[in-house]
Amino acid sequence: MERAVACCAPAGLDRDRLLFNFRVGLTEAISNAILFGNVDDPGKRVRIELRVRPGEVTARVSDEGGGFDPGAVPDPRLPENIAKDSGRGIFLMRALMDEVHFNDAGNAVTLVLRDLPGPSVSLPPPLPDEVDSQPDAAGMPGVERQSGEGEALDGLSREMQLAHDLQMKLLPPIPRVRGVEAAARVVPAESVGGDFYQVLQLPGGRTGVMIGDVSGHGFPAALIMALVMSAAAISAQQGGDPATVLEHLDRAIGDELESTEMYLSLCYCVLSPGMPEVVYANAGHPHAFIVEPSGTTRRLLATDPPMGIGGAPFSDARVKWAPGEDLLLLFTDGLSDTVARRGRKSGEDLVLKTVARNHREPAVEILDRLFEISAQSVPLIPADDRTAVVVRAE
Amino acid sequence: MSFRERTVGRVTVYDVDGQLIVGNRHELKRMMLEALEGGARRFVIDFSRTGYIDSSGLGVLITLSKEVRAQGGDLRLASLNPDLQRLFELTKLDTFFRICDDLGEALDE
Repeated sequence: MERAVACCAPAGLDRDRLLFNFRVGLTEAISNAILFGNVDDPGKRVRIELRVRPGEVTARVSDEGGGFDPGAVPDPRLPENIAKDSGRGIFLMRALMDEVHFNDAGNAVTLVLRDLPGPSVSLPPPLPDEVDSQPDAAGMPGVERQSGEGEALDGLSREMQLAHDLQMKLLPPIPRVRGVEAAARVVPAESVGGDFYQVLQLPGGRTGVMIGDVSGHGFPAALIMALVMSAAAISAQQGGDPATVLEHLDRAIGDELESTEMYLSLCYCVLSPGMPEVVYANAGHPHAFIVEPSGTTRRLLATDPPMGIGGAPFSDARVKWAPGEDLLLLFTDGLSDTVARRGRKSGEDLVLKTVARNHREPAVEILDRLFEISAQSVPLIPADDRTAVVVRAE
Repeated sequence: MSFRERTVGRVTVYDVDGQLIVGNRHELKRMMLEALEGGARRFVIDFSRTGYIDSSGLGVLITLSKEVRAQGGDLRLASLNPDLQRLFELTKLDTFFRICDDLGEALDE
C-alpha cells in the first residue's frame, strides 16, 4: 500500500486526498477482491494496476473470482444491512473516490481520484474549518482548531493531523428543527481523536442527540467514528428506539472495535415535542445530564457498558424532562478533565455549575462559557478532545 | 515512575501511582503484555495510590482484560477509591471487571 501511494506522488494530488481517500479506497478494493472475489483462496491472485497522470490517479484492481453484480450489493446504510460486513467497502469506495466502475464481468474495479478543490470526504456535508460562535444558536456548530498549520510534520503527527481533519469534516451541521435549540462543539486535542456528536431530525418531529468518545486515536479512531456516524444517522431515521439504534451500531462496528482494540462510549437520547421525558440508551458514557432551571442536575446513568466489549443487547431508559425548561447536556471527559482543579478528582462539578449558572442563556452561549473556563484552565491531565452538546427543546 | 510490578505468590501485581491516563497508559500495557508473554496468568492492578483514570486509561484496562482472558488468565482490579469506583459504575464497566475492595481479596484464589 505504501508503495502504491509512493507511486502516485507524481500525480501531484493533494496529500490528504492521496493519503486518506486513495489509501482507504484502494484498501477496500483489495480487501473486496481477496475476500469476495477470490473467496479468500490464497492460490488466487489480485492484480493491481496504477495509472498516474498529472492531477489524476487511476487504480484497477482485478481478481480471479467469478465476478458479481455490484448493483445487487445491498446498501450498507439500510438498517437491515448495517450489521453486514460486505457492501461497506463499496460504499466507502464510492464515498471517497471520484469515480468507481466495475467491469461487466464484475471481477475488476476501477477507481479514479482527481485533484479537485473541496472536501476530501463526501459522506456528510463538510464544515468550514472555523465557525464563529453565532448568537443565532440553532445554526451551525462551532468547530475550533488548536493544531498548528504549515509546519513540516513528521509521519506520525502528519497522520494525526489528517485524522483530525477527517474528524472535523465528518461532524455534521446541526439541523434547524422547529422548537429545538441545539449547540455543539468539538475542540480536538493534539494527540488524541475520536470525539463526535450528532443532532438528528427524526420522523414525527422528534430529535435525536448523540455523543460518542472512541478510545484510541489517529486514522483507526477516525474511521470508527465515520462508520458510527453514517450507520447511526441511517438507523436513527428508521425511527427505532435508542436501544435498537445502539444494537445496529454494535453489530455494524463491534468487530472493527474488537480487532482494533478500541472501544466506544456512546449516549443517544431522543426528545419528542411536548413529551415530559427523554428516552435514551447509554453505552458507558459517564457525562450525560439533564439540568433543571433551578440548577438541579440529573444524570442519565449508563444502561450498558461501552461498545466493543461484547455488550449487546442494549436497553432503553427514561428520565423526566420539562419541555422548554430543562437543558440536555452531554460532554466528554476531555472537557471536565481540563477544568479539574488540584485537590478535585474531576472537573464535572464545575462544568455542571457553569451550565446551571447560565441556564437562561442561548445554548451557544452556554457552550462559550464552558469552553472559556476550559481554555483558561491549566489542565492537570493531558489534553484529550473536548466536546459538549447543549439542547433545549419545547 | 507511574507503575511498579511485583509478584505475590503466583500473582503479578501492579501498583499505579497517581494517574492512569492517555500519557502513560501504553507503559502499563507494555509491562503487562510482557508478563503475559512470559507466562504470567493471574494479574491484579492495585489502585490504592491512584487518583484518576481517564477514558483512554479505561480503554487500556479493557484491552488488557481481554488479552488476559484470551490466554485463560484472570485480571482483577483492587482498591478503587470512591470516585474511581463511581467511574466504573457510571460506565457500567463494573459489570465487565472483577473489582475487589482490597488487595487481600484480589489475591484470594
